[in-house]
Amino acid sequence: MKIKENVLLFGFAGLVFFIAYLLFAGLPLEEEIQFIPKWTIDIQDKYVSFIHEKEKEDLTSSSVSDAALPFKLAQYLGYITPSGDVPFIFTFPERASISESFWTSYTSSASGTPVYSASSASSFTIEDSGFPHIVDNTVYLFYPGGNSFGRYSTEGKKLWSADHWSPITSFASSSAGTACGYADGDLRFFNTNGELVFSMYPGGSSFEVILGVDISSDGSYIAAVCGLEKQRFVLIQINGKNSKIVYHAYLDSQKREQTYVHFNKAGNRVFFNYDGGLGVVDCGQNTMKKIPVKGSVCSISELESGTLSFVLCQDKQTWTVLALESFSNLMGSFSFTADNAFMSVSGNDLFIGKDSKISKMEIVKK
Amino acid sequence: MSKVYKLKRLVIVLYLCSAVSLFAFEWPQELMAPRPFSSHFAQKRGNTFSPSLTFTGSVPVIASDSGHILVKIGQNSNSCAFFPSTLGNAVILAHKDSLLTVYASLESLNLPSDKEEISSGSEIGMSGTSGWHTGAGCLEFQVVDTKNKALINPLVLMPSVSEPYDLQLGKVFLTDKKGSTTELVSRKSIESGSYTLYRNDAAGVMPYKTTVTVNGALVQTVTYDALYLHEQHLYISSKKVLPYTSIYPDNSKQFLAEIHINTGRTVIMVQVFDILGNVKQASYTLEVM
Repeated sequence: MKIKENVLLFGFAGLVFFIAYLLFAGLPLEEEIQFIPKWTIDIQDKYVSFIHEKEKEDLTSSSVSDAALPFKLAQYLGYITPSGDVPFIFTFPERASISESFWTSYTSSASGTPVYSASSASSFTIEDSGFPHIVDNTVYLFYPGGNSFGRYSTEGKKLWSADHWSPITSFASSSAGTACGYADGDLRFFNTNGELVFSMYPGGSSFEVILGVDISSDGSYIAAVCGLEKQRFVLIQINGKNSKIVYHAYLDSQKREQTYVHFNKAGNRVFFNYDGGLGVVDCGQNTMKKIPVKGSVCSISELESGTLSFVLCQDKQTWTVLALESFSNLMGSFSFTADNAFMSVSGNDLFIGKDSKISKMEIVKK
Repeated sequence: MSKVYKLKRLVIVLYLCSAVSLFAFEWPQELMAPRPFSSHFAQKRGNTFSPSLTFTGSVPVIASDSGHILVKIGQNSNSCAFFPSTLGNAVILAHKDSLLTVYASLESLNLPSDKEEISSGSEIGMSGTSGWHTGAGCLEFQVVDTKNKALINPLVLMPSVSEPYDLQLGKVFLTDKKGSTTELVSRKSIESGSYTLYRNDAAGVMPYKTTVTVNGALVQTVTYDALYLHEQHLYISSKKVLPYTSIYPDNSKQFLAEIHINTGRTVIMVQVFDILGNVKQASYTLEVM
């Protein structure tokens, strides 16, 4: 009798399990990110081919299409197309700056520096002394001494400049203006005409310093990592002279070096590197999520669809790429060893540079 | 407006005097003979005032005083993510009395990773060529007064040196209101009116102070002890705000004074001083018509 009851019980349980299996097996599996390798090129080989091809031409007069992505890897800079062509590549002996629109190579005593257009094979010269810094279509020059900078037109004419009594420790530019953080903790925001919109000391720490800064593309927010003892992240809503901190968070540990801060394209999330991790702040909800990271964050890019973001981190010679879904959910990562690396995203493709190699990976969710 | 600047300057000078008596820095590196400095504070450097005292020689760099390690710059100089600081590899220390010291253009940083404080005389790194430089390049040293929002001439806070540099007066020029410039020499005949006096800075030797007297009356003193900020630009405080373009109107001139001279015999005396008070001077006797 007892055996018969047990058989019925086990039989019933087996039936329930079988029905449940049939139901859940019918549901689609959660999508996974797949990195599908498309091609890998050697930029040293590309450089040799480029030199051979342009043997009797001025190398700097080359022009590239709008679709080409800028890269700077070790002592090479250039542009690469989605199909793996390199329409322009150049070696620079000391320093260089490159964007989609312009590029320049300069020395430690830079003065009268030529800046070349990527698309039109034209150039202009910045006569003043200092280190050029190109952000999209905007050209800046950091003057000797480290306390001042100027913005220049695409004819090389100085549009405006700003000095300070303490050294510049962080800098950001967007179509909305220019933000600059200084060693004494002053955070300044200039509009596109160079007028000072506000100057603010976020404070809240024993030692004031601005270690990292970024501006949202629409000019609504500025984010910064600032101070020592205790270090904190601040989110500032820009409203002229009445700009104010709308969110802040003290950090458990602190960095004493320049720190990466980056708004996403929509301007509603901001990433910042802190000692030991990556912070992701939702600007609308004023909430923060932390993702442990080894080393320093060097670059963050997001897919055109906005569904995935990629973070490139460096820990000495170990480089790690993190894939984040919805900006803060870690979906996966991979690491590689290199002396130099870069990361860029175009459409739904990820480009990774590793020493002399550049690879393209298609990002697919299946 | 000028009263405000005078008052501000007085406050900072008093503050510096108290700082010198209570608080002096060590030299951040060994002074290399015969020329310990390659450029001076407020000297023309590129197209700006130099905020730094630049040393010569490739030698170890030490902390000028005990302080807190505030920030290391330039570690990411090859990354597109960060701006290219012209300080190169640099470290900034925060000291008592709201002063910062900046050690820039280092070849390498040698700071303990586990320490937040650094004691006076501790090695920071080796001087080098990582920052913007012309010539040999070497340690760039700055002192920032965060309380008074000014850059301070480091020589004011340093132990004295017997021969800081070979100061020369150079040639002196007069520029009239029309912009016409002539070299100032004795027994010269000129018209009465307002002029601007400049000295030739071709030798690259920077005075700490310049004075101009006309017929024994002090007309203008320019002291290169601090740089202040006004409307986003650094300036030297004198009778009025003297921005970079006023001090250095072109590559060869350094501002001395604005003067007005009336008819008759006029004696103009120009003096340049180094930090120790050593003076080089010249007098010019003019016939003013």
